[in-house]
Amino acid sequence: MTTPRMRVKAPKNAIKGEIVEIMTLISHPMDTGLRKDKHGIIIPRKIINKFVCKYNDMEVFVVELHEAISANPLIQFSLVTNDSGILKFIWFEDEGKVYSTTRKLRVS
Amino acid sequence: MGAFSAVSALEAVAGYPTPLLAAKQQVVVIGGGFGGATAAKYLRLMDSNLQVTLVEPKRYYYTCPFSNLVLGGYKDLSEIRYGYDNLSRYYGIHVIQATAARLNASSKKVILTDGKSFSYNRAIVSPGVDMRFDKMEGYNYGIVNKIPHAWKAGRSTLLLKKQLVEMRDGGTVLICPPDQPYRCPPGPYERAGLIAHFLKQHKPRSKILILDAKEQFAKQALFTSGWEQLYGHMIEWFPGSAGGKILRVDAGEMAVETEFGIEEGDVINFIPDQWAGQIAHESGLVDESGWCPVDQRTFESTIHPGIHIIGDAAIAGAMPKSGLSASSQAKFTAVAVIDMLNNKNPETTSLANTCYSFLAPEYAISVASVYHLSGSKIVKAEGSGGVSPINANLSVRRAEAIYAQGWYDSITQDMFG
Amino acid sequence: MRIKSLLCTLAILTAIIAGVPMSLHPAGKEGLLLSLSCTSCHGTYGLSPGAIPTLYGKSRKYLIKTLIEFRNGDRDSTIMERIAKGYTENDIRLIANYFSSLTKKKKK
Ligand SMILES: Cc1cc2nc3c(=O)[nH]c(=O)nc-3n(C[C@H](O)[C@H](O)[C@H](O)COP(=O)(O)OP(=O)(O)OC[C@H]3O[C@@H](n4cnc5c(N)ncnc54)[C@H](O)[C@@H]3O)c2cc1C
Ligand code: HEC
Repeated sequence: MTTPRMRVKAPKNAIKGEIVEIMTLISHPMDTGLRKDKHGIIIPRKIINKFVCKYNDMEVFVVELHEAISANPLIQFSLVTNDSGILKFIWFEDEGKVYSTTRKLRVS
Repeated sequence: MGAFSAVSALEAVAGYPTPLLAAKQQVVVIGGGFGGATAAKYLRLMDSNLQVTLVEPKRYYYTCPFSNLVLGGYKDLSEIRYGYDNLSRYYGIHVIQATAARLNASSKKVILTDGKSFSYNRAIVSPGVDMRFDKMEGYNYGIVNKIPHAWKAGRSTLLLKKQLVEMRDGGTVLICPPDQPYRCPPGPYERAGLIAHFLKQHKPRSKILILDAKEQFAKQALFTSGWEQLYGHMIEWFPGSAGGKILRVDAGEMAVETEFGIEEGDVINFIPDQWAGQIAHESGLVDESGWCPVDQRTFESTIHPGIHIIGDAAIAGAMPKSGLSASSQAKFTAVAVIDMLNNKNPETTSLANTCYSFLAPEYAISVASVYHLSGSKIVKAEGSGGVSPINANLSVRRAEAIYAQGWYDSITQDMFG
Repeated sequence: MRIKSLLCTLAILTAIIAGVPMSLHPAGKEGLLLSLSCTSCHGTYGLSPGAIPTLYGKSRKYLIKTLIEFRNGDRDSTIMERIAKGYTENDIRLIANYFSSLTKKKKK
């Protein structure tokens, strides 16, 4: 499979101490391991099992995901801004694959 | 035999109104689509003494219904094309191939773009919708050849079809539906399924992203479960709040900008916001919403008496903007117009709408409702209507696909046959 | 080809019926008006050119029985139950009067 599409909605600029809303979305089938394909063969479980957001290399948000979450999981959370820097978004897939993307945040 | 000669006698005198015909009541119908063609035919069916003139610029009408099957590679454009010969030959309707520039309500005249004008006793206007090129950054008339909307069937449909045929395997198709109100609420989703049907056969590694202005859409549960069953994860839908909302169209880069970043498309089907067709604006028939307010008991304009607006252009209470709504309103209005011309109180009756949508050529679902007047408003008849059952098996979906074709054959015959 | 010629026959048939204004129809105007919502699917005058059944000239008894059964959910249908529920028993009688009164014989 090619790299899944990662999408992030995050502000580019913020004021120090402000609470900012972040939304992320990854295109992922979240195969539960319960579904069969059209030949009746079970599609093995392959889901995003964890999501992490790092702010200047510090973990600021972590969430574990499970099979009951539907395809293309949308994750929404908020952060209190501190210094300008890099927001890194990391998705962990079953069998160890990791996908990530970053956004710059300018705090004034 | 008697019947035939009556019809041809009328045809013989049909022409631009002359003093000879002054005694006859003249009804002019603007636009020969679902609303207009049906209205013209039913006016004549109900009252063969009326002189009915239909103004329509196009020689051939391509139906939007079933145009998504053309995109899906299941029908040819020639199979959704109709002409106006039967209407003039068998029903004595005077068909003028021209564009109406505007109606003058006080002098009761239609003015054509070529400067000719003629009078009417009552007018029925069914111009459909026009696309708004003034609402979205980067979207304008200059880019419709690169980013076709295909929301009026014909050339634009073919253009989109060609782009799909030429797209690489593994490409991305963006479909961007507008917010309500717009023509054919389930249309973009039917389109997604039928494009997926085409891609699955010819370019199976491709993707379809629906970037929606809305948070939900018509028959949503039926569409999403059907798509998954038929196409796995080929179609992805994003609601407005989660990446669907479009901020800008970039035809140069073949991309759109959303709140979640840039989405590139090998093919982009941006469906713009719409409002009533231009003539409604030129004739002062629209309110601030850009659509036409009407007295829902007769479809007569609440702004200019003597002019009735039907179909997509009208604000018709609970009825959605669809071909069957337009056809139903056309018959309802034809009855009202005849009563009003005879100085009778218009008799009212019920209205109906059904929209069939295909998810694949042999898989269709439907939504249906019956409407009636409650006081002066059109409301859904209690207990009626609803969508196809969610848990039905494939044989039901196949039966609905057969009936959808049956509906299409009937309604086009009802309009043009 | 077969479809083409059938459509052509229909056009001529409706043109012949068209000589008599619909609204002067002996079965009364109310039934005619109600029937107008049906004919977009069942064809002009209930003469269907395609897969949807014809209503033109069907017996009054049959039409009433069928429509009541649709309404009560006692008869299998893909769509008619959802439509029939929008009409009263009186509406159904008027509609049945209208379609049953249409026959080729009646025309002189
Ligand atoms: C992709 C797609 C799929 C659809 N599928 C369905 C479906 O399955 N079922 C369904 O019920 N509906 C469907 N619809 C909706 C349906 O096409 C419209 O609701 C219907 O066409 C509305 O009829 P109308 O008479 O208002 O406008 P139209 O049918 O658009 O007719 C307007 C006519 O007026 C003419 N006109 C415009 N301005 C002038 C002027 N100034 N002078 C003279 N003539 C003029 C135009 O040339 C045109 O022929 C679909 C629409 C789309 C886009
Ligand atoms: C949306 C299209 C549609 C509309 C509108 C519609 N019908 Fe039907 N009708 C059908 C279909 C499809 C069937 C086949 C049964 C089914 O699957 O629902 C049918 C079947 C019937 C039958 C059974 C015919 C037979 O012999 O099997 C009757 C009677 C009928 N309709 C009457 C009506 C009447 C009266 C109206 C108007 C009030 C109407 N229909 C409006 C689509 C429609």
